[in-house]
Amino acid sequence: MGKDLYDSVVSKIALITPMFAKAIVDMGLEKLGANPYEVTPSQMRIIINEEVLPKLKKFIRNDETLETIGGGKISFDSNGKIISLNTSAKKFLLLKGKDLSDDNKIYQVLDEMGLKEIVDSVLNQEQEVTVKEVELEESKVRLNVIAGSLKDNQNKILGATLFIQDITLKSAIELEVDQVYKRIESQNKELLIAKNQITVAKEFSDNIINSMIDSLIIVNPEGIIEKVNKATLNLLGYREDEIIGKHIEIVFRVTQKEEKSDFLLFASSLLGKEKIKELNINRFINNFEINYFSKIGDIIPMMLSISVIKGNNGNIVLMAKDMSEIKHAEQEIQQNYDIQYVLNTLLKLQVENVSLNKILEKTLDSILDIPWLSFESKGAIFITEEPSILVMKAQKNVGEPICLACSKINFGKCLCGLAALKKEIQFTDCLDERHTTRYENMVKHGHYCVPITFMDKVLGVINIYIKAGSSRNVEAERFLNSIANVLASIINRKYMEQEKEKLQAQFLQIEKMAAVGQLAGGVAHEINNPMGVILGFAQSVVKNIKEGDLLYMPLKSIEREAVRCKNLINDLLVFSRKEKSKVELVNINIVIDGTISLIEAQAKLKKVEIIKKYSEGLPMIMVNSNQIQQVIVNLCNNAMDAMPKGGEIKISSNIEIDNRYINYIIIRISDTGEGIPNEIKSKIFEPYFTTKEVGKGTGLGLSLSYEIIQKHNGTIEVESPAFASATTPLADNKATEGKEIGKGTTFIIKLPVGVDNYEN
Amino acid sequence: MKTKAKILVIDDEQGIRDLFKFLLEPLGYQVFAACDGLEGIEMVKKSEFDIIFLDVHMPKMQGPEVLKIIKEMKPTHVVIIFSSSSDPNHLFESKAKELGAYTCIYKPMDVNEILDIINKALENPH
Repeated sequence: MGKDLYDSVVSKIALITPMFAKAIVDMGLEKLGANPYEVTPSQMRIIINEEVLPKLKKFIRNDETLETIGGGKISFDSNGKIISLNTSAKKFLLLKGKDLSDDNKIYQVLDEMGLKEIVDSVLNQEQEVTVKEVELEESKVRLNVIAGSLKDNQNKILGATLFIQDITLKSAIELEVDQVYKRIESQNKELLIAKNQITVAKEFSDNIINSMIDSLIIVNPEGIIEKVNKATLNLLGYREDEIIGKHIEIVFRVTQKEEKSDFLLFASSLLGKEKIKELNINRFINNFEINYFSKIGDIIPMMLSISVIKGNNGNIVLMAKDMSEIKHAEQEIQQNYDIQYVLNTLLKLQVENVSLNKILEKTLDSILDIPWLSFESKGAIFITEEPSILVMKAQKNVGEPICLACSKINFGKCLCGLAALKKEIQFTDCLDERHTTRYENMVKHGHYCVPITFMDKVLGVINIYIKAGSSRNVEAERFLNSIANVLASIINRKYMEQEKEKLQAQFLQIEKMAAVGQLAGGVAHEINNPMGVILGFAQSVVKNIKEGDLLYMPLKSIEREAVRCKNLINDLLVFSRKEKSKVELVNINIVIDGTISLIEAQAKLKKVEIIKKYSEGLPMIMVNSNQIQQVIVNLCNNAMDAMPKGGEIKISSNIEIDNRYINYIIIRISDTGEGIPNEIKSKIFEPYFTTKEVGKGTGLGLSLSYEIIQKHNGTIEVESPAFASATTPLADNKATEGKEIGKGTTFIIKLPVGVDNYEN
Repeated sequence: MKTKAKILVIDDEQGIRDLFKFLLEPLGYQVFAACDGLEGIEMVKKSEFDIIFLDVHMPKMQGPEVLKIIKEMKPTHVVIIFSSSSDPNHLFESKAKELGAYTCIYKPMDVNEILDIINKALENPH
């Protein structure tokens, strides 16, 4: 500020003395110890009054260029008449431009200049001294006039003196100083205000920017990041120095999704490092959805608005709101909706009494239809059939090679088998070592294999294809698990329904069997009459003819066959009449023999030979012979069913002593069928377990047998050499055709010898 | 051995009645037949029989009932009852014997068994 003042003063003085103006002022400055840059207005006043003006006066006097600079003096007597008038005074008066040739004219000029009145004021004793500044408009001269009275000793006024001094320069300089000062003052004030305002505004905007929740990034037209707020640093995980000066492309990239949009044009120019100005973007781009990338590569969905700051090199402000939570919430709502939709579909299907296979197909369709899961539109659902074998029941787009390769999968084999065995989801993004299944032209892929479990039992597996290299998705797993859970309960319900139907069929069968039994009893009873007649006549006639007679042999045959019928009917009657038979002491061989007669006819039809091997001299045993017969009939029937191509049934009786010295009657019934797979050996005595086709077996035979033998305090066991069912499917009849006689199955019944073993 | 013994067969089965006639008449027995219990009772009322064969299951009146009435009328008559059911625990037999039956035979019976029983009953009716 001082420099302005200094320059102004120097320029004014230079009007009078161009050569020395600066030197005069500088001398003043030096005296005060000030400098041109810091000189204050008060210092400048002192310099003007004490240094500049005296020097200027001296300078002017010496030069005699401007007499007016000296003082003018006019003396008056007590009447106001001019006594004397010096040259300077005369020059001052002449400034008025009037003729001063006589005294009257002088008085007139004095009056015009207003000097008469101040002379009068002192002559009249109104004032001792009167000072007045007079400005002569015509010549722009400024005069300082002082009037004083002249008195004698008695204080009587003798006259007056008028001193006139030219103060034009002084006033002008002082005025200039004042004006410059004022100007500087006001400029300073403005500057100060402006400076304050700038500081306040800067702090204000910084505070606002940094307290913003949304991200703010300012880039220059070349796309270089110039400023970011704290929210941006927090969001992206950069330190300020890591991001400032970098190109905006580290924050976002443009996808072709926003094709042709203002944003795309804008952003690609930004990322392409062209100048934004050239793109003529001069309006806001509001609320554009885009992804930011964090320092560690996380994708953050953002709602971006862009504006260009005009007049500031065209810097661009990118304001963006983090949409992660909103997106996440949206996504969650969508996902929940999708899950609910699929589940509802499933539940609806279940209610509509659609077959399980249909439900599985629809389930698969629904799963593969959901876009956000980004599955390949490819998958299958497996159902656990025989224990520990998964059978493909539904598939979509998997193609023939996979259908063949994966039609049946053992637990533990490949990813699906592992999922079933471990009862946990198997995920892979590639064909890793777990993916043991291979087929021709197999394309790289990954899988989710999700077990369908109910009460810790694996009912099946959902298999979904994903692109190779896909990352494991928690949401996808959550979704698949929900589906698996609902499927599990649906499958379980279906099974229960099937079980119920089976049970109903079985109860019907049991009732029918009971009815047949009753009927058989009644029929047998009725057959006995005609049988008696046939037998009786045959025997009667035979009695009357000799052995050589032509009719002897035929009649004997009639007799023999009638006797067979009699025995058969008798056995049938015993068997059908359950409730009436009681526990009795019997020879087990007779009981077995009576039973075999019942099944011999059937055995012949099925080309099964029954071989009896009884031990002689067995002790009598307390049994319900009717029940024991039932067990033997059951076992023999099963044996015949196991040998569709015929074979042998061996029935033997024996006695054994165990280590507690208890005698057991042992009945062994063996067949030459293909045996029982290991997997189901433990289940054959369970009620309703059957390997026969629906309607052909009740699944009760063996369980009833087990119960009967248990009631006799005995045991029933099965021996069947192990074989792996997976390599020899049961359903395949060819398996028995080409083979020599099967390994067979032996049932061993142990009945303790002793009295009162039977629990009634 | 008493000849010309009178034997009554009460059975609704014609074959059985014919069989007894065919079997026993050549052997010198007089064989009479009744086709149900009522007819049999009438015949027992009118005449005396050495042995009566009585079927269990018949229309109009069942064997055991007929047996009771006959035994009331003619307590000394030998009545042999035959059953067409099996009787593994001999429950029926003991019940029949309680009612006064001589013995119990089961259809389809053996001709020789019939002859043996007739001989036994004639020799030792009680």
